[in-house]
Amino acid sequence: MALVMISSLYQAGREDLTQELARKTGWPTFSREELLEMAHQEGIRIGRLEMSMIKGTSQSEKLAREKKLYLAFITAELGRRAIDGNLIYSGRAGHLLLPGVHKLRVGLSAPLDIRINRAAKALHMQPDQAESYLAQLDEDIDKWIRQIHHASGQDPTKFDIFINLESMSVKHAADTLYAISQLPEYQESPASRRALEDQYLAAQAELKLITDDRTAGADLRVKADTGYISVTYPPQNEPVSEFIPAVLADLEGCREIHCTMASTNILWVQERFDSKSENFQHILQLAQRWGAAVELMRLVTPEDVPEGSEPLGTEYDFGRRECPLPDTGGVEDDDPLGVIDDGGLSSAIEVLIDQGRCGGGISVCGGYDKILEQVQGDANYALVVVGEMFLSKGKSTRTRRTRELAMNIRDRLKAPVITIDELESKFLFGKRQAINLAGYGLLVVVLYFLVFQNQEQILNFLSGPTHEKVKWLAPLLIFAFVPIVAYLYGTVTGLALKLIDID
Amino acid sequence: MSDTCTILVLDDEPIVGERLKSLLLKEGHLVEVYTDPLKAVGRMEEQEFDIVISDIRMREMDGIQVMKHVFQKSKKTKVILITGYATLELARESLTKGAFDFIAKPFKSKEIRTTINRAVEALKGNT
Repeated sequence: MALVMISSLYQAGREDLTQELARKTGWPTFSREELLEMAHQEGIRIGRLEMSMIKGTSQSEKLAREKKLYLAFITAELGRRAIDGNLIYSGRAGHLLLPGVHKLRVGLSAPLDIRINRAAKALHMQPDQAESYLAQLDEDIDKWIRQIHHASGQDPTKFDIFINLESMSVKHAADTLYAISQLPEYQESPASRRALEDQYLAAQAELKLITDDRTAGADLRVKADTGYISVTYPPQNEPVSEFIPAVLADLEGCREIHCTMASTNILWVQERFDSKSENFQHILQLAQRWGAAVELMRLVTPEDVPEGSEPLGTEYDFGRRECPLPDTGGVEDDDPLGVIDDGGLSSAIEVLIDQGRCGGGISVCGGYDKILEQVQGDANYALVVVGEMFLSKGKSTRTRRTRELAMNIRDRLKAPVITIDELESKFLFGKRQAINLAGYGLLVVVLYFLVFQNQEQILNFLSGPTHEKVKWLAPLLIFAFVPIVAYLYGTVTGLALKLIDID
Repeated sequence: MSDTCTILVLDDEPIVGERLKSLLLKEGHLVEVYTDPLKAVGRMEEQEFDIVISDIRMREMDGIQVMKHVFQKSKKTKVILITGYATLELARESLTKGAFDFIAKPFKSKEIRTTINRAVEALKGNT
């Protein structure tokens, strides 16, 4: 059984190569264009996703879930076809799909002048127009692959073979692909078959969970293993968990469903969130390392609520994807609430969903006593980070009140609570830690060097003639010296462990 | 040029024209709606519109062909293409061929209003 994934930029010849290979082998083909057509029929807002590469997304548009849905859909469709036999898929980045499955990953390119001529002919453009068109489109597609697949479309390590059609004919390229696809490395093995079946099953389950009204808003992580589906949900999605077995009940190939609450969660309390900030990146980095979900809690202080307006609700529905409404023809009414300033919470949540690290978000209006009310004593947090709070206050008041809040949350949760300023030094390895490691490491090396170079004098001091003269001096110096050595050695070891991601 | 524009809306789904018409009339524009691209092109032969909003995927003629007709008649008309089948390839083709904007369906009313306002500003700059 052969699975050939041909990826290329526009007008690089993937359609010709796919047809030639299909003609030679009789294998069925499936293209990105067919897939998009099907995705449209299923109501996936693929056009909005595509256009976000050119225009970006508005604050009110929540496309992270659409992206998850699209990836689940493409995996399910490819899985469905590949599971039955041979398949040739042609698209932008098919080589990045179905990891661990036996597949021949083919990159295809053609010289720019050939692509320009083809584009000019196909689209009835002047060559200079076609050149500018391709330059912009190539950039857009590169952005698409980076945002959707988190990889570069041109990374050679992601391909098994890269064909340049400048000097090789399409026929010979197809012959070459056929010959390579027959090599033992690209044949189905029990492990790759299992990987394909697992990914197919997980994608189907994910599709059902995202599109079913009962579970649509939840941040669920789905895995499949030989027919056993495990669904992990963050604590705030517990009410949804009871519906998961019912939603997946009629899923073919599913032998058992396990639903478990995620045990590693980070709660981040802050007044305003910025998904591009260094702090956000630090939290994300830590969450990725721990495999944790991040729950955001935003404090809206009473002075931030404009006079005469209603205080913000305590919780937003961030999760639910917006489905196209059938009776509007695609021209939808504006959001009645308009665009609200939510302190960057929704865009931060979007990034977390996109990275698969979303533990939900909540907005709390009032003083910090309201935060304490919201923090559930039985919530299973691995870490609570108190971020930039009380921004309207002076620096000393801000620091004092942030520490007070951290202490109060610690008392309530019995979970480790740190301030955002402590995050980097305690859990991450950055530039400062690198300098510390180098500095403390050097001190330890110098210390060891001195000790081993002066063993005779040290032994004399500890038990020789010097010790006989002043017996009290050695214990006193050891008493002072050992903690210093322990501190230096402990710091170096701690930083080295942090460097290799062992906390 | 005033902020009131003549706008032709072309979409083979009647609901789209209806909704856009009601939206654009509220903004003070003069709006004509067509579901048949041939009739719309015929009308454009008679009258020059400031803005043309056209769907892309239609039976008799696609939106890019409609845009070509528009530009044969009037270079200054701003063409906004809308489609439920947006792809990067199609969007870039439309923009390269002179579309003022390309909007993927479904879109919020605010998005088309913002685009129309930008088109009005661009038209003012042309005069």
